[in-house]
Amino acid sequence: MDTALTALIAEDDRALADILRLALTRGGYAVTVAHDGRKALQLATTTKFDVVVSDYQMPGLNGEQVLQGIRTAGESREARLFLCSAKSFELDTDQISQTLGLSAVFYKPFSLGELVATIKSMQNPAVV
Amino acid sequence: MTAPATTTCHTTRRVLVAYLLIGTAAIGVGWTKESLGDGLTATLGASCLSLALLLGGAWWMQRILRPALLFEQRLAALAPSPDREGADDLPRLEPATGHTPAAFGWNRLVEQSHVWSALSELKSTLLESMSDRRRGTGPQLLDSLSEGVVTVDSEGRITYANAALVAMCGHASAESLIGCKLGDAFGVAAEVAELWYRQSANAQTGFEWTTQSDSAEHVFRGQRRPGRKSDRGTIAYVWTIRDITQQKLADTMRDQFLATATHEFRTPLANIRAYAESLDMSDDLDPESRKRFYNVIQSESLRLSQLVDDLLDISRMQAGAMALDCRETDLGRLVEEVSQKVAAEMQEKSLDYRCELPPKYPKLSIDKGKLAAAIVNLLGNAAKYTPTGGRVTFRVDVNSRQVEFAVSDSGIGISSEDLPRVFDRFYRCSDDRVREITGSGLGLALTQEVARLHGGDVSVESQLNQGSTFRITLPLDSTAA
Repeated sequence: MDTALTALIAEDDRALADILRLALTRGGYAVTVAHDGRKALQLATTTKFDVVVSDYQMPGLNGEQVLQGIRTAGESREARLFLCSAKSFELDTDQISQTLGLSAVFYKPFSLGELVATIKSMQNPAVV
Repeated sequence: MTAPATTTCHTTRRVLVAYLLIGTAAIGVGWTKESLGDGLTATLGASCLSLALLLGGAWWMQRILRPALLFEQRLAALAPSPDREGADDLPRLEPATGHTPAAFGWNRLVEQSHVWSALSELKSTLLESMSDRRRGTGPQLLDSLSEGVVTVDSEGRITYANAALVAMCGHASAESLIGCKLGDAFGVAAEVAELWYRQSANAQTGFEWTTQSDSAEHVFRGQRRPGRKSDRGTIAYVWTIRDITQQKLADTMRDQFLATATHEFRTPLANIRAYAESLDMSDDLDPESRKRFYNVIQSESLRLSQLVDDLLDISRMQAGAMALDCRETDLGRLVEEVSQKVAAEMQEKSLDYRCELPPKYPKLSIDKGKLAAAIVNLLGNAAKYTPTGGRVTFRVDVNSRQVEFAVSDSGIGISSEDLPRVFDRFYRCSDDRVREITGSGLGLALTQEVARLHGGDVSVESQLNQGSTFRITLPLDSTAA
């Protein structure tokens, strides 16, 4: 059931975090938001999330460090991981994606509808 | 000496006299014949004919001899005399008198002689410089170059170094470098320098290396070209070496700026797109949410606009074209406005924000918008780099000479290594805590420029993990309305 799925959003920009929360909530997820990297890693370590959507540039820890920590240990190590990045030319997202087994990388400014659709499709491989 | 010219004149005169005598004789003969009883008409005809022949012959002879006379005069001018030296200013023949093949030939000879003189002078200079290499023109030119120039033998040992290269290596004189290996002179690791010597002898090759001197890192770029064979038959190389430390630094700062600017542009763009898409796709949004979404789009648009303005200001600053629009300004009102602008940010981080203001402000002629932006930038930085629950103080002091705006915080502070560079354009501190907070690295550079355009300046005092104080001081004599 979609309603049972949980999502963690790690995003320091409050306006963007708010709209992501709204979109994923409408997509059927129970959403938790963290505004810095350390808080996000702490939440993901102690609580099981099905999906983690993390910004790259954040206070505390950056997105790569957060997702690496989540993947290494804790309750959410099996979660589908998604990275949002504003940097598309100097950041080697392919390498990060391969190393951490990311489900997708979204480059800002991304389409909210596509982001939700991609996350939902990844959550259930039968749905493309 | 004028003898040849005189000779020609005499010859001409002799010819003229001869014609005159012949004519006179002819007339005399005619007159004699008449007196002896011949007809008067025949005598006069013969006389006129003789006179005409005389005058025509004189004119014709003069025409033939005129160019010869001119050449004779020019040649005579070249003859050595106590009044003039050499033949370095050969006179050209004037067009009016020189339109003959001989005159063209003469003028060409004059031109050639000028070319020969120039070549001869050049040859003398070169011979002089090559005969004494230490004092010659060549080494002087090489020493005047900002680029290092060095010649090495096939083993990499220095055989010549110009002044710039001596300075790059930190040596006192070129003599102390002669015989040293080029790699050793720059303090390059032996295994790295070994690569230089292994490269193909005839190829032009470029190398880049980093050295550490006086606790400062320097980056050099060298081009090696094959030189000529030395007396011992070994191939020598000529290196031209440039210190590209500043260029590398500028490249790094530009890359950092591009990365930061990209992030700064994309974040508000992401918000605008996401909120606009939500408004479009969500028909069931309540009016309050719709209004909030529109407000986000508006504020993010303003954020983008501000970023573009900052970038334009930086461009103008770099071009030296930033100008002030100074008007008489109520300083109290300006202070009130900047405090209002940052109040929400201070409140969000639960900062203890205090204003210490004077009871009375002078009237100032300033660019209110730019000065307000500069102060807001200092207050915004204090809020950004001060942990939650910290303290930020905005203090304004006025005395008879100046007005000072001071922003103090109990934030993360700035290291002594970063402190001298905080006003550099695009510079961001190396502290990880700073890297985690978005910023373009332009704010303090703009603040400094605004203060200086007002005749003042901005200064900073800071201790790492203790906090910072930034001060904008404006002289009252240049700003008082």
